[in-house]
Amino acid sequence: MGGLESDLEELYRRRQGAFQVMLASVTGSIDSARDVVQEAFAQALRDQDGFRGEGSLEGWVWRIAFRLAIGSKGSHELAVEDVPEVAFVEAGGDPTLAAAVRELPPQRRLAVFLRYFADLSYAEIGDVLGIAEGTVAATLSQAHRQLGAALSANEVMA
Amino acid sequence: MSTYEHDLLTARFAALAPKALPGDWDDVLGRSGAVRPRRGRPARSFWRGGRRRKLVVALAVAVLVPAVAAAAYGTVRILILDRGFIGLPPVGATPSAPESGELVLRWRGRSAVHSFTIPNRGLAMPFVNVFVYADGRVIWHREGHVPEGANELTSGYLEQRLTSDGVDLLRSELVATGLFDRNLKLVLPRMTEDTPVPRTEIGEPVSCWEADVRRGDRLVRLRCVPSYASPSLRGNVTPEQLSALPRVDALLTDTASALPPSAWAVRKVRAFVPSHFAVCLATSPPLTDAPRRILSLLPARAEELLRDRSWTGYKVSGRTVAYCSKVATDDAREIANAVSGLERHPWAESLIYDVVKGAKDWEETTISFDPYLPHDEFLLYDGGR
Repeated sequence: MGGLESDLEELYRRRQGAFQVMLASVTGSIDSARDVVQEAFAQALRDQDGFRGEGSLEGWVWRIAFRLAIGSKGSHELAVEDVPEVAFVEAGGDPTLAAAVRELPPQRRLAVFLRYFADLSYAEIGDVLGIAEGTVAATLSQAHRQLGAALSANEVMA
Repeated sequence: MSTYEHDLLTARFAALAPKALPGDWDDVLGRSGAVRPRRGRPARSFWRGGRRRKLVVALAVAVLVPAVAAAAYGTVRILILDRGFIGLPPVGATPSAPESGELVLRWRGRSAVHSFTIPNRGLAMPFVNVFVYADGRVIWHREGHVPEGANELTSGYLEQRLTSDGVDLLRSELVATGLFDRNLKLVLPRMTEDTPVPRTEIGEPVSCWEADVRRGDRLVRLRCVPSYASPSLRGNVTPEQLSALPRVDALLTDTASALPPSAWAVRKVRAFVPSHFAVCLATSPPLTDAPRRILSLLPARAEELLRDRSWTGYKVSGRTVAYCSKVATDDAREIANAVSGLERHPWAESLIYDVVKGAKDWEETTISFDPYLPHDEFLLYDGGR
């Protein structure tokens, strides 16, 4: 293994925590999310030819991880158009926000989680989802509007 | 959504984030079937500056009405806009002259010179485009707040003008860095946990970008990329080159500060008013029989104005394809008026209308209006990020 392994290792060391936190919202627990992250990076190492350099390395690993995360819930295939269902693992600390996020359509909710849990930029979210950066902005803007309407005026939208 | 609101949401999400468990790279290697013995651990990288982090969140914005300075010279009325704008300029705004220009210097990328710190999130570096022409025009576009900017999210396209000597001075200062003798790609070193952003020996932060300098009949390009940008890249920058990078950043993205007043013909910032716009029909996923099919979806008057135009197709990103036509500003304004009944796309950095919304958020067809620059290029949507 050569340069790509080093890049994957670097990505893992830098971002595996964010992968875990984000994927826990798909798998339902941090333990299962960690397992998915380990397997996703292992799969990336095994299938290095699958990375053609058309997008970012991180975006490619996220797509592998999402497929595995959905598989861990029973389904084994993730079509390109499928949108993983995401939810807070522990919503008790902020039930108002959790309820507002739960009301978002799945694709908006996923974009919001990628933004705030995975800490991805618009460009990176676009890379993960295979959509244009402007479309990410539109999706998040719609999500923000919906969240703003649901949350009390002096909380988020003050 | 403002940066403040963004930070509040970030904090509330962070409060609900489960605590990540420790990682184990050896376990990953074991699962992958790798059998090689472990080498020495590479330097840990916490590179952040190379990640394309937007500083602000795009929102639906009201079109700002630029302040206008007007003056009459003989029978010719000059209408200068002293603020940037999004979309079409006001009727009667004086276009930048001459219509065409030879590009002699260019910058595209994030600027460390304009960086600022976001608490708990590190250093933020705005994206900047700069175009310098042989006739002295400096046309630029910067992410985030600029006093003369179109809104809080973007400057819009702004213009200043150097003297002929000022252009020569700027070019010679750039050449003197020694970085523009030939096309060059500098790969910044991997960063450590303690130094998440590359810095020179005296501690200046360094961002990643590309810059062109005309040498004779060709543009010499310097690209600065993080080693993390691609597999197989390894840092190759010397300490001297690393030290010279902030100088290039300052010269091209903060030219007003970098050059003496005598270098300027017009130092005051004004809006760049183009003579032509790129009107683009974009669709995701791609449609068969585009752009004709997209034209048929437009309001009748817009379809009538656009139907006989020639179109050039571009693959934008993801599954988006755009078909663009070069249109004189007054004609573009008429087209924009014809589609103004459509829903405005919530992208603060360009004038975009939704033609059709698909079942999913990213299935959409849009029409957009972006300025043509004097060297006959346009940047789709947002300054070409």
